[in-house]
This record gives sequence, C-alpha cells and structure tokens, in this order.
Amino acid sequence: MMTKVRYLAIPTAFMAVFFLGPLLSLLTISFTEGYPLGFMPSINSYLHVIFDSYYLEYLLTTIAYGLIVTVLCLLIGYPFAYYMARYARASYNVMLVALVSPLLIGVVVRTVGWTILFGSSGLFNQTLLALGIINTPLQILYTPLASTIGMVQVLLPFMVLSIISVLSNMDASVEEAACSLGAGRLTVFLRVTLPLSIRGVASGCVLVFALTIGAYLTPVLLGGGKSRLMSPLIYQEINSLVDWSLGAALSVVLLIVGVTTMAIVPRLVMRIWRT
Amino acid sequence: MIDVRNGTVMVNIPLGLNRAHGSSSSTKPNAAGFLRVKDVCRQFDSIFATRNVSIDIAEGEFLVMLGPSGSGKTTLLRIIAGFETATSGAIEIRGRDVSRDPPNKRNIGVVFQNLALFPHLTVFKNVAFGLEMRSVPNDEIRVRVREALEMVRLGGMTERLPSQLSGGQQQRVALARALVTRPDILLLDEPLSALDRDLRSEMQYEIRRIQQQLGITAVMVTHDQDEAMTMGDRIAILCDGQLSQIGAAEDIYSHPNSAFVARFMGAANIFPVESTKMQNGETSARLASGFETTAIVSPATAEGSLAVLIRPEDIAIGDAAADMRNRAQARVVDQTYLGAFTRLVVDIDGGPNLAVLLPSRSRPARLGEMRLEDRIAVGWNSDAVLVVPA
Repeated sequence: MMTKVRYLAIPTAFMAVFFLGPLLSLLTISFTEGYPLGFMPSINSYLHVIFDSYYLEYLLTTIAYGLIVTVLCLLIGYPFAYYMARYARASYNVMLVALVSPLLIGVVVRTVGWTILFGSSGLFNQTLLALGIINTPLQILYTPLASTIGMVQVLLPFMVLSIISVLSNMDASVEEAACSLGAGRLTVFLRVTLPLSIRGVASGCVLVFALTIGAYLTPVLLGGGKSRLMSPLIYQEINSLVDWSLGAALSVVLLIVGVTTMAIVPRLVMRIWRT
Repeated sequence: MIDVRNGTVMVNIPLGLNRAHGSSSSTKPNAAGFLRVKDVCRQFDSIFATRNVSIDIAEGEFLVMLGPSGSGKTTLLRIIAGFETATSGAIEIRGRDVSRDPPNKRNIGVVFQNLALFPHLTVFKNVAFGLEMRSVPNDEIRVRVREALEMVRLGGMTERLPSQLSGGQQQRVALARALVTRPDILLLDEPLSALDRDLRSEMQYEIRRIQQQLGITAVMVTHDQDEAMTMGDRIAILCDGQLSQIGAAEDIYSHPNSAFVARFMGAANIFPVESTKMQNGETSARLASGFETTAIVSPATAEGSLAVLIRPEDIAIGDAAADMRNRAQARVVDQTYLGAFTRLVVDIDGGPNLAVLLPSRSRPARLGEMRLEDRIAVGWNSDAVLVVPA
C-alpha cells in the first residue's frame, strides 16, 4: 500500500508548490485591500465585484461568450465526431491531425493567419470587393465575431475528442435496432445516439466553457481591446491599475463560475437524460 | 402444424401478440412467397458479398441461413432488414417491393448478434420502444409489453436495466422487443453465439417454440449446423455469396449437392474422384489412390471434377462389414471416445484414411478391446457413397 502511494509523491509535491500555493495566495490577496501597497484584511473587493454593475457586466459578458463558443463547438463538433467515430476508416488519422493542428500552432502565428484572411485588405474582403458585393471593407478583425471564430477553432478539438471517445465505444447496432423498431433518423438520434453520448457532450461542453471564460490571448488579439471579458480585465487590474486585491477577487469569482459549471452541469445533464 | 402456420390457432396465444393482418397492406398475403429474395446481388467494389441469391420463404416458415464466415449470410440478412441496399435485385414482403424502404418502414423485428439492447433504458422501455414509435396508446403499451415479457418468461423484471440481467435474460428481452410490434418478419442474426452451450440449446428451443406459437415468418443466420438443424424448417446453405443448396435438414444431409455442402453439414469422408464408370448397372468410382468403391451419383452432378462422400456413420466394422457391398481390410490409426459415439480413423489397405462413427455400446464391434494398429474389416453399401461435384 505504502509503495503504491509513493508513486504520487512527486506529482503531489509539484501540484502543491506550483498550483495549490499560488491559488491560496490568490485567495488571501482577494481578501485584502490595496495589495501590494497595503495588507489590510477586507471584503471590499468582493463587494465591488458583486455589486458594481461595471464588473457584473464583464462577468455576464464572459459567461455569454463562453456559452456561445460552447454551443458553436457542439454544433460543429458533434457531426464531425459522429462521422469520425462511425465512418472514417483510412481517413481517421488525417482528420485527427487536421483537427488538432490549430493547437500545434502558436496563438500569435494563428492570429497572423486570421489577419491575412479577415483584415480590411485581407483575402475575404478583397474577394467581396472584387465581386462588387460590398463597397467598403467589412470590419471583422477586432470584433467579437473574430474572437468567437478564433476560440471555436482552437477549442473544437476538445469538444470533438470528448464526443468521439464516447461514440466509438457505443455499439452502432443499437442505432440499427432503434431503426428496425420503426424510428426515423431524427428519433434515433434524439432517443438513442444523443442519450448514449451525453457524457461526452457534457464533458466536452464543460471543457470548452471553462477554457473559454479563462481565455486571454485569443480574445485580446482577435477581439481587440474593447471586448468586455474577465481575463483581460483581471490582467488590466493587476498590471495597469496595480489593484491586486480586486484582480484576485475577480479571479476567484471567475474560478468559482468555472468550477461550479464543471461540478453541476454533468450531473444535471445525466439526471435529465436518464429519464 | 399447418393451422399454426396459417395463423388460425391463435387462441392459446397472448392476445396482444395476435398478428393483425390486412390493415397495413392491401396485397393479399401470398403463402408461398411471403418473403421473396429476388436475384439479390451486393457488391463491395468489385467483390460480391452476395451474388444472385433468390429465396422464397412461406408465411410462418423458419428459414435458417447457414454458411461459414464470409459466405454472405449476414449481408443477405442485412439486405432483407434494409440496413444495406442490394446492388441489384429486390426484396418483397407480402407481395410488396420494399427494396427502397428504410428498415423503419419494413415492419420487421430484428434480434442482433450482440442483442443491441438500449443500455440506458429499462427492460420495460426497451420493449415499449417499438410501440411508442407506432404511437400505440400508453394503456395498450403496458398490456402488450407485459404480455411480450410473459411470452419470453421474463415477467417482473420490467424496471431493471439490461446490464442488471444475465445473458439469457437479455436474450429474452431482445426477443420480446423484436416481437412486441407484431412484425411481418422476424430476423435473427446469430442471436445465440454469445451464450454458453446449455443456455444456447435452451434458447434454441424457446425461440422455436415462440416462433411456432405466433406463426411468424422468421429468418435466422448461423454458422452452427446443429443449430440450423434444430431450428429451421428449411436450411439455406451459402458459400461465397451464393446459394449452394436449400431444403429441409434431412434432404440436405442425405442429398448434399456438392462436397462443400456435405462437409459443412456434418462430418464426412470426402475424396476426389479420378473417374467413374458404369458396370452391371452399378456406378463405380475410382479414387486418386486407385481404390474403387460402388456409389450413387447425385442428380446435381454434371461435368467437372467430382468427389465421393461417405458418411462416417454408414460404415460398418468387424462381422457387420461382411454383408456389405464394399469390403476392405484396414488398420486402426486413431480412436476417440465421444460419449454416445466412438470415432475411429482407419487406414484402408491400398486406399484412403476413413473416419468411422460407431455407437460406443455396440457390442459386436468390441470397441473397448480395440487397440491402435489392430487390423479390422470395414464395409459399406453403395447407397452410403454419393458422388457429388467437388
């Protein structure tokens, strides 16, 4: 028994020093005022975050952003995952590489790519101009649209891989059984395929949502400075306004939103679909 | 028997499972061609999985499709079910061409090889699924599900999940689910292959009993010849996507039309024939080794290479061999006790090795005293030897 537990010593120590430690100090700082200049215990930062409509708007915008990206990833990712799990044979590995390749490219390089495509003199706008569909270039870059597209692209693999892992363990003849009993395609999907893959859908959604609300680089680089999202706000509070206490409180609130989603959503989904 | 097949002996059957005819189809049911497989081909790239197969199945008949793996039997079943589409040819159910219909429009019941129960639904919901799809009222669903579960002797387990049932119980749920909708045709794709031997023969009997009780037309796929003989009214033997032979078990066993069928339907001694000749009204076949035996030529035999088939149980040894038309001396090279039977392999002087199957208790043979290398007389009559296409 002792021997087995020993394997966990190094990972546990690593997590304690580099994850739990910073998290605890973050929590401590969030209950102070004026850190790092002062160290007065206070809950003022939380009162600001919760009751100041300015911060509340950032929080709600972030959650909405997370939901939109999650839904888009699900709508694009599910059919893709279904195809890969059911029909892709020789093409499976090619599709897998295509799917995860955005993750292998740095965010800066990826953003340059988007700029080339969607900038005012980019390929997309030039084509539309040349075709006479528009007269002035569309502003796509540095809008919420651009940052949403960017996030969906980056997070799609997480959704797809979560769903594939469940679908490929699911017996395709169960769908055939439903069909032989008189169910049409849509009914088969809603009554059999979706309920049996709901675990993958739930974990994919939670993963994408948590990663979206915590994302910093892609929303800033593609969405520009105007986006009202939590991560850029926290960065600004700490690095520009030097209000660590408020930044820490915002971080804790964001963390709670993420952790709560992870804890609740899968259970909720299971309960609903079990019936 | 005939009454059951025509569906008139319905008094004994749970009410809900009486098969309602007429409303779904205006075509009069055709007893001879209730289910027609017409010249069906299925090609994957250039390979034929099924090639020009035509089978007529009568109403209430239990047809077993038997063949080795890769013989196309499962493909054919899937084409009948509608999970796959024939490259050419047609499927007719009750006189209606259903070739272009998806499975959910064919009014079939399917029992899958791995059962394919819905793992997230209770036994009740599994069985009720097909009725819900047909918008049957809830009260009637409850009654019919209960009757179906009673029919498969599985009352009182309605609220369990499939994973909480034993293999045999899951089998019964799959059967109830396939039958509760009163399908025109019941299709079974090697449904018993996952069960151990005792349970397997119990379920063979159960499926047969229920099929006869309902008078439902059934098609089953199996690679097990014992199972085929136990369950089928007729057996269709498939080889390389083609129909080799179709008929009652006894017909096929006694009159196989090829060496393949003979080998597949029970053990047989099969040897290539070098030549045949007629002599004094008798056919004599000469084997490659030069050994000759009198034989009967199968009507299926045409030009081309031939083989002789001698069933091991038709060979006599010792004193009993003396009266036989063909006699030879042989050396015992192997002896295997199989319980009721004992299997010998004997090496015929100047001839091939023959497998011989004898009742273990047959006294005259004195099997218990026989030793390897013993010399014995063996013999068989002309009608035990069949010349068939190789």
